[in-house]
Amino acid sequence: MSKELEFLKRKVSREILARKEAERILENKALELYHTNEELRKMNLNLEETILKRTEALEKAKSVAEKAQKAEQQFLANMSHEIRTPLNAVIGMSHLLYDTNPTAEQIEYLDNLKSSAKLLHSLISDILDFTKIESGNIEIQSKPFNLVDTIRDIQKTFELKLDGQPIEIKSNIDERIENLVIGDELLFHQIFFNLLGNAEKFTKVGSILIDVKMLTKLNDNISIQFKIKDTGIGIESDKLKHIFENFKQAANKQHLTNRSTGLGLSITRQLIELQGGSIEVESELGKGSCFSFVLSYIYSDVKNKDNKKAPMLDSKVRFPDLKLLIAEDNSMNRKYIRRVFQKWDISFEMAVNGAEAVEMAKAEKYDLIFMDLQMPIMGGVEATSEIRNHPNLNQHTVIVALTASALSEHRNQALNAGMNDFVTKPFTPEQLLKVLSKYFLEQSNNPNIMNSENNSAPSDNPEGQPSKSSDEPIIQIHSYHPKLDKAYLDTIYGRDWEYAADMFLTFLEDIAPNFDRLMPLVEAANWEAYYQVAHKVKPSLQMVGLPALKEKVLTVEVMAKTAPDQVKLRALTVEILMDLEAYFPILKAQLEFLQSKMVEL
Amino acid sequence: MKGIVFTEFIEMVEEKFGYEVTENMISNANLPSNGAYTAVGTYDHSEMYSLIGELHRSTEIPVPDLMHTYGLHLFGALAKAYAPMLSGLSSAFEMLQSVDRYIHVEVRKLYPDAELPHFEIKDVDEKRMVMIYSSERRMSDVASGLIEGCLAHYKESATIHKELITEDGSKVKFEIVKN
Repeated sequence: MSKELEFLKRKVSREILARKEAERILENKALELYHTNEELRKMNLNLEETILKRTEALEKAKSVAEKAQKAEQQFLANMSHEIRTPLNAVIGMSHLLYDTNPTAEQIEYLDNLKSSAKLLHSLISDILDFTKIESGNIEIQSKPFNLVDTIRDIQKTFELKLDGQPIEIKSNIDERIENLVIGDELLFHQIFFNLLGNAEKFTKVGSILIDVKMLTKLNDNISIQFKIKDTGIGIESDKLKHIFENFKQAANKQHLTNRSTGLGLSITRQLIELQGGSIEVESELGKGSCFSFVLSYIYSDVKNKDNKKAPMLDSKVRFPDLKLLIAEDNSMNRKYIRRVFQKWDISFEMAVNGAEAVEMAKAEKYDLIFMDLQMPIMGGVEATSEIRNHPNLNQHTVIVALTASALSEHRNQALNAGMNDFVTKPFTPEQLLKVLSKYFLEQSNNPNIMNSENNSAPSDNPEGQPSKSSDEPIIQIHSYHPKLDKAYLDTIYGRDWEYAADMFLTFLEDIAPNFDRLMPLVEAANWEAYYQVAHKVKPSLQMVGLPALKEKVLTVEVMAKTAPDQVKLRALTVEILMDLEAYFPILKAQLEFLQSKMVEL
Repeated sequence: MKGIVFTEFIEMVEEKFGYEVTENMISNANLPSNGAYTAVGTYDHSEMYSLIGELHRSTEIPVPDLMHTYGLHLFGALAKAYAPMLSGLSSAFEMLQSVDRYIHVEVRKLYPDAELPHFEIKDVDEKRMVMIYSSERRMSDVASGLIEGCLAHYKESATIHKELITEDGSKVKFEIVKN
């Protein structure tokens, strides 16, 4: 027992020693910890101070940088805008110079002047777009639009532009895209227009293929791939990865003519990415390039409108024996005139410049010559002098000037050169009709046309009463759609259904497609052309009873001429197009009604 | 060598052999610390050799067996004392892999002067694991006890093969194969 006690004693004394040792160690540890903590606190304080100082410095630097960037963007935007105003004057004046009977050499200089001014214009538009994207000022709209139509319209624009060149534009659009999509039509237009423009710019021969394929359709979400493949000069593989970067271009020295800001593809990429899409490019030098981008839209349940045109009315042969010569270089106008005269069954031949017109005038007798004043190689005034001053088959043929200029001195110049009359461009079919009837038609032969000339009340009212008379309310209600300007339509057409039908048909077939040109022109900031299109379509709106829309077009026409503002014009144009879109079914119904009335009569 | 290694050793000897064996071992070992160990202290490792040597002399149990038994005991004691360190580990292999990588790193933060053995993991899959023990203390038998203790802690069963890499036992390969 005492042994055990002894062991316990020893153990306890050991434990006491151990405890004391432990206390010593712990005391030291506590002290150590205290000092460490103190040091930490000091470090923390220093750190906080440093952080505060650094943060302040960073904020200062950031605000300076932001201010500088903002100022730079504002400067770019202002400058771009400011440069455009005098530039529009340069472009406008260069157009007017064409009317001053320039020599062939001067025309060459003018052509250069015009194309350089246009290039400068597109560069500035690029810079404006770029600054807008950079400053985050682009708003993405979400509205239903007809994707297929938009693509076809752009294709048409380029087909016209490439008219006569050995380049074919083919398109293959997925038929499963049957409904309107909801998204930003303007952005899409700009993207597609840029890429097609790019393909067109670098392709001299061959084809441009548009391929549109639906990738997925989940619930109401549709994902679509757009490919634009050309047979152009292609891009070197080491440059390929840089072409979407700002200010980078792949074009080599052989293509110095393709000058631009190098922002086009960068803008296109950013516009695509802004909408959550992506763009890729494949290319082989000398073989061509293929740009493909994917965008997602909301798939509406509204079908894309049936775009088939109403069947052509059998146009009455009014001028069966006429043969006309038309000298006009502008392909758009050529197509337009061709279509109008073809519809009227009037035979005609076309010359692309004054010299050709003179040659043709020597070879064949025409009943009337329409002569554009501004043409390359030889202008209309010069050509008229040639025809009038040298004995030939057409020395005394009626020559009618087609001119975009309303200036009286131009008119006088034309008349002095021996022209008989003039039609101001952009002209409507009825203006051409007026001229033709003036020279070739007896008044009694076609009262309809005379009506159009006088804009008078119809003379064939059976009762000899004005159609607005109160005893025929039912006919009036059923004659013109209440959304159209009935009073005006009654005044100019009365119950001459045929004339009214012809006017509505002309509007739907020939005038309405011109509205499609407005948007590309806004994007191209081609205010001169925009002005001309607006000017051309404006009077026709009145003729189909849309005076309010006519006023809107007048507004944009004036704005395009005097103080073009792309943002405002874009918005106003969209408004006009949407209005027109809304009126389309009404106008079509009106035409059908008028045609049915004609059958009754 | 950390104090907890000594205090746990004394406790085990007391538990398994009684006070007399314990006191004789301590007094015969002639220790500089006189055996007054505290878990928070640090002592020369030679004291551990002396204690084990004395225990072997009085009990006649081979040293490797004593060391192995001690390793088994030590794992349980460490697992209890440092339970939070084991909280995220759910299997023996996971635990063994984290000894060098995590546990010893943390131990060094607590005791910057600690001299710890290395447990290098060579090869590991679901069933098998190779671990290289290296320490100048040459106490791989304690290590094998610890490994066995670890398996027992996670209620896992495995066979442990031990193979000397260096003759002096400062580097030893353990192959642990799950049953």
